[in-house]
Amino acid sequence: MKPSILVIDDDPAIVDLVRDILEFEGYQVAVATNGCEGITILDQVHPVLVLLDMRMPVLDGWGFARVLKERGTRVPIVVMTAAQDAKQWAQEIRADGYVAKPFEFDELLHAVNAIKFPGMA
Amino acid sequence: MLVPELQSLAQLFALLSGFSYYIGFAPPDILRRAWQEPELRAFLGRAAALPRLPTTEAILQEIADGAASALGVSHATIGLWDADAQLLRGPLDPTLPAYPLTADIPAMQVLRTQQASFTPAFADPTTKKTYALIAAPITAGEQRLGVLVAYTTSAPIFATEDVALLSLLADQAAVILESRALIDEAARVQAREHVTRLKDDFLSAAAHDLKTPLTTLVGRTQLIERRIMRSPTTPIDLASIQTLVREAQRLKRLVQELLDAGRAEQGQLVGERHPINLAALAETVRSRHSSARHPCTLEAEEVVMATVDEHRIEQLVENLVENAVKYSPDGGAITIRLWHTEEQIHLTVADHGIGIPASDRAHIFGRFHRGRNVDDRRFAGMGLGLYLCHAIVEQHSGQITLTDTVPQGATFHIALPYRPEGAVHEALNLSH
Repeated sequence: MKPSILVIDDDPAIVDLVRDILEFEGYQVAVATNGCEGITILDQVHPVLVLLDMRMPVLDGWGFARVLKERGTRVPIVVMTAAQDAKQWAQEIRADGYVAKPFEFDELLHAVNAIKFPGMA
Repeated sequence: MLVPELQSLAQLFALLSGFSYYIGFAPPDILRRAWQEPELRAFLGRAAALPRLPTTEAILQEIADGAASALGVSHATIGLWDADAQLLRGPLDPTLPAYPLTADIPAMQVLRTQQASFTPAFADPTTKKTYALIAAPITAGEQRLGVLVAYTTSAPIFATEDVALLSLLADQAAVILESRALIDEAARVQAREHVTRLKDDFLSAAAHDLKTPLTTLVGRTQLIERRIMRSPTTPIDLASIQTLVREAQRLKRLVQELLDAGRAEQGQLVGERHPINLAALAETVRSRHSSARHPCTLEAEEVVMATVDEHRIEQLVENLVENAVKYSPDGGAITIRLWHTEEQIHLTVADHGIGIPASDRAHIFGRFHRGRNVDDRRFAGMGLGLYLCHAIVEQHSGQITLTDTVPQGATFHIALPYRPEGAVHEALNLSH
């Protein structure tokens, strides 16, 4: 079984879409609709990757990354945003990759598959 | 002991008598010049501030008044050369005709020759009066701007130096008018930049909001395609199709809002107006949005007639009620009130939702502005709703304002001009 991925996005349609695509590819998927919820679920499911939207209520992408850093939690992050400066935002939080909305099915998979998950061949 | 003081007193008397003797025999123009000097100083003191006066007319008036008082005459005026029309116009006196370059008047001679001149007796054919006048060209570099004319009906009191003085004042006027032109140009450039920046913001905000439903449409259709390719016999799931329909409609709404914003910017949002009963319109909107979570009530007179663009006014009330529902996430009553006075129709939409912080109120009707307490996605939207509401009300010659609902929430208040029955009937007749 493929490892689990945490998807954090406040748009329910996007969360559903990304979950359906990743499940179709055999991943386990957990979802959260803001950074705060994301932290709680992260502790429960211990994902190998976080797909992270940046602009969100309660705790945004920057806030989420800061909390992880403060706690010393290491998990690869792929930023997923509709903003024009997707790449810059990904660099700002030292993310491992980014995918700009609107993304194609394969673009999302490439971004995910580009990450070398610990413990995977 | 008193002798030295008496002596100095005598000296003072001698000085004063000498001075009065001089005054008695001094040429009158020198005296007048001495008397006018404070006026001249006052004008020069004001000159630097003149280019910043609100209108060109105000600037011209100040220059003319300054010239008249500096020369000690009753009148001065300015003719401005309209190079496109090849006419000299008198913006300070609307009764004056516009003169072509060939006109036989002293001001035109000055404009043609670019030489200041003194005319001891000019018989004005329009006023049938005879004037003593001096005129000087207002010219910036090579560019003829106009003519400064000082005139009086009393006996010619001008002296030769007055021509030179008026020329100096005309040069000063040229500097002032040129500064004014530069200030205007700078303001135009600034306004253009502001519009460009707004358009950039508009585009990037619009692109951002369009991308979200587009992501779902692109990704989900491709996912359906892959599923069918993998197992052609599996039926397409209804939920996916429903998502596609919903997101396509969301996209359509966004595009419509964008098109409306474009129309609003050009002042073309409001179309044909017809007399309608606003109470019936408000009831339609109310019934559409009322739910157990958000009970919506209408308090209105039975008939409130108004000559409006029905589609846009419905959009306006709809937007406000939709906002009231959207920003009352924990539920709450919504009240629409409609009444009229002799002059105005009033419509309010009140909710008990999250309200609007004081710091946001000045910008709430601006394009793309969203309240600081608005979670960007929790409440989807491009920030165009209230901008469009404002444009609709404004194009109906009304006002839209915001007040608090007590103890919490927001109340939007719209005031539209009330057209009495007669006007409504007239409008009815006209439209048939």
